[in-house]
Amino acid sequence: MSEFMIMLGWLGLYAPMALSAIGSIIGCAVAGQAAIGAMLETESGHGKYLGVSAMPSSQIIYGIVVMLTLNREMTETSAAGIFSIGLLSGIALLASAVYQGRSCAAAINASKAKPEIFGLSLAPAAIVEGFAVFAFIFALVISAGIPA
Amino acid sequence: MILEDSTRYALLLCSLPYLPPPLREERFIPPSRIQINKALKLLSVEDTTRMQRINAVLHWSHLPIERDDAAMMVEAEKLLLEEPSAFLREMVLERLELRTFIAAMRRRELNCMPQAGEYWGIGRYTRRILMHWHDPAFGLGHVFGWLNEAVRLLRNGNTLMLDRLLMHESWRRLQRVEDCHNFGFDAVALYVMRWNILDRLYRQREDAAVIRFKSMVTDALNGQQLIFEPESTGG
Repeated sequence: MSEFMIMLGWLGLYAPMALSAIGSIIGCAVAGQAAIGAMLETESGHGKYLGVSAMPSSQIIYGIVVMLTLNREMTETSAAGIFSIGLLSGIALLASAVYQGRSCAAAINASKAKPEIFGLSLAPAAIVEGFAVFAFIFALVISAGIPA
Repeated sequence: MILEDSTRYALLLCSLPYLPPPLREERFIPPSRIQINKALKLLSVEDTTRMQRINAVLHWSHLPIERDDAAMMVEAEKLLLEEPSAFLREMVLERLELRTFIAAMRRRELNCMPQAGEYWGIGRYTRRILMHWHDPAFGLGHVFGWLNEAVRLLRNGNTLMLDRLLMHESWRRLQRVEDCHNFGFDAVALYVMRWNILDRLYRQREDAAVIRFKSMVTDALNGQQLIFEPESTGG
């Protein structure tokens, strides 16, 4: 039983990093494809499209920080906490990166047709980022209570 | 959640120009068929086949003249049964129902009521149309407000305005659902449907195109001496 708990602990330790990486890969790929498509259609503003398509990459940074914060001696008492916080924060970061990618793609598509709404069209992506920050911050706060 | 169909064609859709509502932008020129076909090469083989089937059912101008109503309806019913997207099935059905209304109006003008078992229309309203055959809007004026106007235009012989009314109505229905979709095949099919409407509409404005072309040539050649033009300085 204790070995199983330790295994779950290690899984939870790497989960925020791996899951947020998967999310960022998908989010950046979707938004990146939209940016490339917009470049084919427009004559200018290519830099801003590429910049927007990189927005979902922030989740992997949060994932790395959560992983480093959770990193401590793996014992039976600490493994459960590490597993729970790591896995759930990883899932939240993954979902936020995927959906932020879709929001960015929509923003690129809309601002291609109507450049004046570029800033406003990024609001949904920024709101999604806000939720990712919540998941990140509270994972750090809660992790302080995990026994060493 | 991860590999959803709704993001498959982000590149394709973002590489296509924005399509404004019909005649809203005076200087707008819809993308050419070559441009659309070039973009559609990004579709998967399976989705290309789906798109061809939808086009074959919705766009009749390229079909052989000897093809009868029965064959077209069989093809349409087959598509409605086999198309996997419920959204696209609904879109195709709505367009075919609109044509069913027009077919019924024309038949009524010709005093040619459909006989039992005859292939004449498709959709959810065929029975209701027959039941209210002598009502101008087939008893559906409260649901489809454009029907009364369409009847009036048909009776006055104003076929150009009737065609435009139908195009606007088709556009309005597609516009209503546009925002529900992301970057999947549904959105691509929706774009192509809207493009077809605009392409047909703007082709009706060939006179305006000729005038515009002539003015552009005049502007470009303003003050230039053509090499084959005799010099006006006689002597």
